[in-house]
Amino acid sequence: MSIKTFNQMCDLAQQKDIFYLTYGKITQHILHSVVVTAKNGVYNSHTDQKYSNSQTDSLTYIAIEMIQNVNKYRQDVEHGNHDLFLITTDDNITISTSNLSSKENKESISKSIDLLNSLDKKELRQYSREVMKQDSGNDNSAGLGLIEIARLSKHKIEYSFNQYAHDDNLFHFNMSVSL
Amino acid sequence: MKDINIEKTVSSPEIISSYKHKTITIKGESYPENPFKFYEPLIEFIKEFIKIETSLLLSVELNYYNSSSTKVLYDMFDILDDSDLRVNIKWIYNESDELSLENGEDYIEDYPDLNIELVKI
Repeated sequence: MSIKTFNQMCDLAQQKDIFYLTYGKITQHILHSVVVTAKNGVYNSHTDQKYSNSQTDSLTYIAIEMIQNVNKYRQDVEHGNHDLFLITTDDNITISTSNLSSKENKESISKSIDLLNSLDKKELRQYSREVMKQDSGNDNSAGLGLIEIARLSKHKIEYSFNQYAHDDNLFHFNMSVSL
Repeated sequence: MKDINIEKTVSSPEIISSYKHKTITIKGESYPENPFKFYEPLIEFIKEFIKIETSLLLSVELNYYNSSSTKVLYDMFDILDDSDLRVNIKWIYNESDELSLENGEDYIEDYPDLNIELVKI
């Protein structure tokens, strides 16, 4: 599955089995709601089998990082809020977010994700340790949250940027990971 | 020294210190919006503690914690590692939590002098 645009993500939400969906401003309160909901059990919508505790743990960790990333890097606009958070469950658990992002963030996020996608699991773990041991405030590394997302995801992080409302400086940033 | 007693919330752990027994316990979930601000009282407590004490037992049991919380723990372990304190750390993790196990193993490798013990529950 490849997330291309915000509209395609909305289409996906209608096609696939939704475990969790929220649209609007994603808050810390919503994050807590996701954590509590996941604790109650996550089920494969095709087989009705419960995903393992290990998969549920990974889902929760990824949700925490993705939602807090949206909160940290979201670009606010005058009219409305464009955050979207979606978890679908079928053969894989897929966690997706969409939010508005600035042009400056577009370049740094792309660079970070491309770097992380080039590393294998062992390299990601080592990279995470190196970044954790650096002094706080070092801007030359992929964000801690993105690193943890990459470590926990079964596949590469999928992402796209789509221009928002003919504004050269504003983009929908769409990200998706699968377990 | 005044002990710390921070109550647990939905996104932050309980933190309890006992100056008398030379213990600190961190337990719960840790994904506050600003972990650096949340853990600041504990960091300050530790900085004072290491000036006057000789040993510490730190117990950490976190279920679901964000990467910034992991970073704060690294910063905390740096302070302990640089001190003359005799430190024992219990890293308590859930059997299904592979990330927590890996983090515990990494802490053991990065801080061999802190006597970190992995405790599986």
